Amino acid sequence: MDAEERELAALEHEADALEARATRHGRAPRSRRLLMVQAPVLAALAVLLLVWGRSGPQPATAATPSPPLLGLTAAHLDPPAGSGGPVYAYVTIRNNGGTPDRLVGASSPWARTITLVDGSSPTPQPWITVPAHGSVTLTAQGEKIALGSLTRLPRPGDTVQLDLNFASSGTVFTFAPVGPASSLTVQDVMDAMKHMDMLPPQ
Amino acid sequence: MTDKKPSNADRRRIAQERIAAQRKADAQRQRNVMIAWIAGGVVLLGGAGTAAFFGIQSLNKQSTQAKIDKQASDPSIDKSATLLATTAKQATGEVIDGIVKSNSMEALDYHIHSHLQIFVNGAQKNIPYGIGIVAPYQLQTSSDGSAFVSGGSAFYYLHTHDETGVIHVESPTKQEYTLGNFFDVWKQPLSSTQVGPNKGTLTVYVDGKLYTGDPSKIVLTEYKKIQLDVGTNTPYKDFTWPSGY
Repeated sequence: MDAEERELAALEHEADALEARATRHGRAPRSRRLLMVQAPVLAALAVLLLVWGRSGPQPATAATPSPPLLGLTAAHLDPPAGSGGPVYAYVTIRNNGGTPDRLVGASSPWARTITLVDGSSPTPQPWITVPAHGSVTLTAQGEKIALGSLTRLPRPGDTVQLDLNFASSGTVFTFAPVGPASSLTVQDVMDAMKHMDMLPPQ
Repeated sequence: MTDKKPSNADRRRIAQERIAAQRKADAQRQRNVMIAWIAGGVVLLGGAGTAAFFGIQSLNKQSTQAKIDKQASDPSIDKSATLLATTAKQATGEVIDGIVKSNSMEALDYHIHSHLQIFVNGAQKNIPYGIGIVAPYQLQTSSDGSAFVSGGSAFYYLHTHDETGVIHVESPTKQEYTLGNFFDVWKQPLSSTQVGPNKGTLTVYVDGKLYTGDPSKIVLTEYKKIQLDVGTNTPYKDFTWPSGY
């Protein structure tokens, strides 16, 4: 076999090998086979992602009720009936949250003891719950806050600091007038805040 | 009839053509594979991008809705239609700018007042009550029917009680506070091109005089009167301090 014959044989062998490899890969080209496998998987994945994206994770708040959202209005005190007290305080507490909150106590620089009483009875009552999406109004005939063992007798026109402690919402520092609720002014609050947790100068 | 044996030249040509044809087919396959991978990647990225878009949009909607719900249901927050912005997003007790703290019972040795009024294209936008006062609020209605905040769970050194625009500066020690500090408590933007949610050219008056510096650097001093005009330049309107301030 001469050199040319060997070269021709090598060329024909290479051509045979290439054709055999193409035949081994089957009738469908590799790319088409890849697409045939890949396309449904990718399409399914894309649809899955789309559905997840549109629906999204459900917010935690949808399952759990919203926390208490309190607002206090019309806080005021009656003028004292006698020289030794007690003095009664009133307020409306609105809760627009989805969870109840509980008034668990109160304090004031004006009194050593503060209790919740009902009507004309001086017997202390359990502190009150403010229901979810509800309100509580303290009134002279119903439940009200009694300030006893007074450190100073409040007079009409005084502004009394009354700290109301709630189980969830914490302490709300309020300033209530002795007299009608509408008698309080911003100036009264400004003056009272100068003496936080203290009796104002007489 | 006998088969004619191909010449060496024919054999070479035929073999080379077969090799060339196979190599061309190989190259075509490689291109197709590449296209298939790219197409797959585009589909995947498109799906993921769309999912992310709707996911983020959904989360944003939930977040915005939660704020709207809270604002709408909060029994004490200022919801007046004429506000520049509500206090729904304001600070809730954390220290602001390193100097503006909140407290409930410290003695207030430094107590001054400044006044702020804002106009957006000529329309006055009110400052809400309760900026710098942490809810729950105690609200009272004054004899003229207007509401003001008379109590809360904490008070920042910079706060408002009502919608008059009076900024109360009340801190345990004398300290320089700026209008920027006040907006930071409120969590509203303030710059030479934006005040709260409103963008536009800003004209600033301080005590009736045109001020051309950075509005956030205006120092809050006793009885200082600040007017911010976003968009249209509204002539300065004086403010009369109520008695007791």
